[in-house]
Amino acid sequence: MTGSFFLPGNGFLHRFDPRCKLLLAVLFSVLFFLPVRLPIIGAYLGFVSLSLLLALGPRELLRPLKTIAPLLLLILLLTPPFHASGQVYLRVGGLTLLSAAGVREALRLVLRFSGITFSFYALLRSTDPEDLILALRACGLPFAAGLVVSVALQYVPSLKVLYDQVKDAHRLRRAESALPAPKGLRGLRTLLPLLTSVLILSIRRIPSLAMALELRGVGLKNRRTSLRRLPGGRRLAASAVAAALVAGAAAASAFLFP
Amino acid sequence: MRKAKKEERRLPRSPALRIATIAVLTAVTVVFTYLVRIPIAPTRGYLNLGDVAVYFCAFTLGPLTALLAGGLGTALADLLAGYPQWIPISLLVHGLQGLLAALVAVLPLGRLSPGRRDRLALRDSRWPFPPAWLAAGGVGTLVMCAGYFTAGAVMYGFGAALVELPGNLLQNVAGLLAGIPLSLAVRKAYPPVAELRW
Repeated sequence: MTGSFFLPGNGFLHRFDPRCKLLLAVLFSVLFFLPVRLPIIGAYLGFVSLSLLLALGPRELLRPLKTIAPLLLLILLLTPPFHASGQVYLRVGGLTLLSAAGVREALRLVLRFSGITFSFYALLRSTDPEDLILALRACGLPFAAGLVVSVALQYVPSLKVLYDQVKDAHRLRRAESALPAPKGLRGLRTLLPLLTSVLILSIRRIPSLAMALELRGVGLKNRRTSLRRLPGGRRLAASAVAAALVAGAAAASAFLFP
Repeated sequence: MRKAKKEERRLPRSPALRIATIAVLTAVTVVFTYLVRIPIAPTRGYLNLGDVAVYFCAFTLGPLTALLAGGLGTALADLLAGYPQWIPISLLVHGLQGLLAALVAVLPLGRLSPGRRDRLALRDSRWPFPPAWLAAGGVGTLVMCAGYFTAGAVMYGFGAALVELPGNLLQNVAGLLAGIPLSLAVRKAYPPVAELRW
């Protein structure tokens, strides 16, 4: 477990300013919920998919698709029976299983869910976690919240190592009884001593971490300095112009083609 | 004299200690959520121990830690596991789950100080754990299941969201069954944990 979803690279999405990317991801997530025609939603999805394909490659386009594919199938199967109006395509007994309205609604939901998934995927896959936190700070995230997220992400790999060590220690004890590890709820019961040990060992780290933070000035009222800032200048200007054009076109299409 | 006693019982005010507490418990929640993943075949979601961590925080460390660590931890776990579309939903739903469960867990004890509350809750009860924790689990389960169902219904329709409901219920029951004994065990084995409650 590396503690990061980020895929390093040099595509245009990687070079796009993280603040603009974050705002575009949120905007597109909202656009997918607007009551616009299906071709417009399809165009939004097409734009996001094309960006992902060009910036990260076809494998990175297929990866989130594979994750959500069973859910998309479920949406296509289970949505039409709840929207039975318009031309009927399939009726069993007195129950309309497939109709024009049902097909439209199922397609809308598929496009929406895929679009939101791809939007967030593109943002998180092409943005370094540190840059993402700085972008969130620029958008108003308090310093303490950003610090919590960055410290937590640093701690995740070490807690994973701790968990493995404690698990091995407990397994060595269990080996003496020569019984296989139980499953289901009994397995959960067997996990309790392991989880108790992991929790206590984790909680015992809190005071030393707090001391380290205090020594670095956390909690002081004076103005903070920072080691890193997101770059400004031409990169930010170009990203902002591009983001404004994309956002303007997407929003205009929603109003021009209701 | 009364003011001095009140100050002795006061929770730690250090922002650094609170940040450290939330950060470590967030990391614990991430590991619990990400570590044990039992796939739910139809929807490619997963059952996990995230709710165990949320209920542990609620019963041991108080409402604010449960809100922040529960919400952030599950959101970060969704990020690392490759389910970015669930990040804002997990942040909100599990955060509320932890907050409300923690508040309901201490509701019968009203305005007592946290230390006295803890002692009464455990010592005077005929149960091995405070009965209010069961009610807290019920509230947490309701919030979590209703939250995910609503979000799912909006994102991908009523029918598909309904399929996830049994899995979420099972996850909460497992979370409560493990969270209660974990909280009791940690409090007993490591009493200083009570000082981190806020």
